[in-house]
Amino acid sequence: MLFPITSIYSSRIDSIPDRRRAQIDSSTANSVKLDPTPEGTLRVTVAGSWSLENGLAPDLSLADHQQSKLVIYDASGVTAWDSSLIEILFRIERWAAQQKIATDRTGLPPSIDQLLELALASPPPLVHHARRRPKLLARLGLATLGPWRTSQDLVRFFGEVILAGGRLAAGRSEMRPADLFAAFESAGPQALPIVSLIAILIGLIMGFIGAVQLRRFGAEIYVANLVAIAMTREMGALMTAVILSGRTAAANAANLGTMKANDEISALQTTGLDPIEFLVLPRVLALMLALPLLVIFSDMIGILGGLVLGTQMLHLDWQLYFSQTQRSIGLPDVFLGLVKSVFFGAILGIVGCWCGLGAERHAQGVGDAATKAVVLCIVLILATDAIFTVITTIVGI
Amino acid sequence: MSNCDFSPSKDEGSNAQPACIEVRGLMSKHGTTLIQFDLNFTVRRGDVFIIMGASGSGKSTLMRHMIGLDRPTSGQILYGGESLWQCVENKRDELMRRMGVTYQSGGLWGSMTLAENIAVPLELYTKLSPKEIRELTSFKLSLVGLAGFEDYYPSELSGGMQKRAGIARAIALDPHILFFDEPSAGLDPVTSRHLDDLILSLRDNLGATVVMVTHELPSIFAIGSNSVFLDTATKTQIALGDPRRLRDECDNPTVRAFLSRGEAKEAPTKTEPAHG
Repeated sequence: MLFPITSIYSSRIDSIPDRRRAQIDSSTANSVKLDPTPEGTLRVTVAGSWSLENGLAPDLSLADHQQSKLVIYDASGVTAWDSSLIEILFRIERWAAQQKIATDRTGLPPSIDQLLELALASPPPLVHHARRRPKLLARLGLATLGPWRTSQDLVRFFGEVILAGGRLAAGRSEMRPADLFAAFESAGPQALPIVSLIAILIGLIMGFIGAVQLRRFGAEIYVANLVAIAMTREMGALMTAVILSGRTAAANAANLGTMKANDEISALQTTGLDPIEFLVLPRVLALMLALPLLVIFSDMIGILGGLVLGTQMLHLDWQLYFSQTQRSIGLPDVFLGLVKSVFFGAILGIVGCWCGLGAERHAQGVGDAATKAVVLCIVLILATDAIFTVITTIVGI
Repeated sequence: MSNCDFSPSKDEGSNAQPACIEVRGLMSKHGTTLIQFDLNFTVRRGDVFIIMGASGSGKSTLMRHMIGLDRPTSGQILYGGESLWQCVENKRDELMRRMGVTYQSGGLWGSMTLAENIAVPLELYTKLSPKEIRELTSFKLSLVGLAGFEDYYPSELSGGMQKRAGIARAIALDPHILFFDEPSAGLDPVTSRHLDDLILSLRDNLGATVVMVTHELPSIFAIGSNSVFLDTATKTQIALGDPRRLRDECDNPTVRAFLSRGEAKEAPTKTEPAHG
């Protein structure tokens, strides 16, 4: 027997070695030696017990042996091995292939030889992905164009949803009423507890801030005006929209993003259903319906918060507070909040769905879509609110 | 209904390899729904053990019990005599670390490149330096035919490549036992054949035991050395043994229909067992 090890490490099932046990028995450390012979043959001698736990072999000074004509192996001293040994042999083989040096692997046990063969047979990829960061100027350009392209895309999507809404109004839509009800339930009634909690806290906080200032002038009663006007004109719609952007818009983005990753969107399209009519429209309409209702509720709860503060902290008479509230706001104030909230609902629905449909088809992509939805919704809602404020100031409502 | 038991322990007696995994009286329930009960079989070292059965028969559930993810309702799973489920948590973690598992849809972490995916177990359980890990991961990727794809993200790869990358991660720590859930489902015949060869080669050359959930008949006959057949109707195992022998000799109609793609022949013909 030329290489006794071949019989131990034969690839037949009935003699598979217990590599781990051999490691424990053998205390010899692993070693790899490169011996050049005068004839130009490089003899690679590996020996000892090879295990990932001992680490890999250090860097071989292969560059010193570039004049070799043939590489031969001697593995007769190996007592145990795992991929750490094959890795070092693989490194030598790849180097030899690069330097166009012939190798003779007959000195290796067949199981090692076969694994090496398997690893070496792997074809190099057609194009090597050089994952370089773009240059500064290119990054600047991309960063400038990015938002522009995003807004173009978003505006186009707005248009598509409006067209789908038109088809719905004309009675030619594929939207299922059941989807609308389900979306409405999740956006509206299920959001009531959190909306109430935030509204009462906002009412209390605004009342408190106002009370501290107004008390210095003995004008505590005007806390009622402050809270009522702020809640109906601004805070009711704004806070509810911000809550729903984190609740419903993010959920819609994650929902549609996962559907896209599962090919459910593609299935809708091949079935002849328009994803915008079938998925986006019910969600947008549900938010446009639910948000004004939530805002009415939130206005009332906010004013109630102010009332609690006024009666408890400022010791105002609750009937007086009530009549002062009635005098301070009129229907235009309430309607302004409601009109805004319809717009906010449309933004929440459309942006959330747009982010979901544009998500990349993996777990990370779904998470990114939800993040993007919340950030974009809040930015757009505040921007819209600012525009409304400017318009109402000019018009004088 | 007659059950077939062609498990090697009965035929070959003492010639058989030592048991690697023993499943004893396993029962599995999902809530109150019975999935499988009275499962008894032995996976021997060096086996390519196939878990087969119709869709919904509980193959993947059985595998999840065997790899320590879900606790079975009752029964034992023994690894070299040590129970996987009746032991302290640490012991189970240690047993689980000796297994390499690939999942039906790859199970690669989407936020990491292939190299990072494979590096995770190496960073956790070995003391290799980052440079050594880099070298070892590119070697493992070469083994599955993905040399040079270190910096790709799973989503940039085809399904077959993702499966192979999953195998590279499963063999990162040179495990004793490899579990494959539907490794060749959804792959073309040539890729599927390469995958079979790869699995056999890993088994032969790394000395691992392979447990595979599959219903790809070509794979079953090409590489399976032992198998268990889970039945949906009776909710238990109805056949055990070399899949080629089951195809030729088992007289259970369900097993025969499954192994001949529904084109069941008449009475089983007594032929020589097809041991490859």
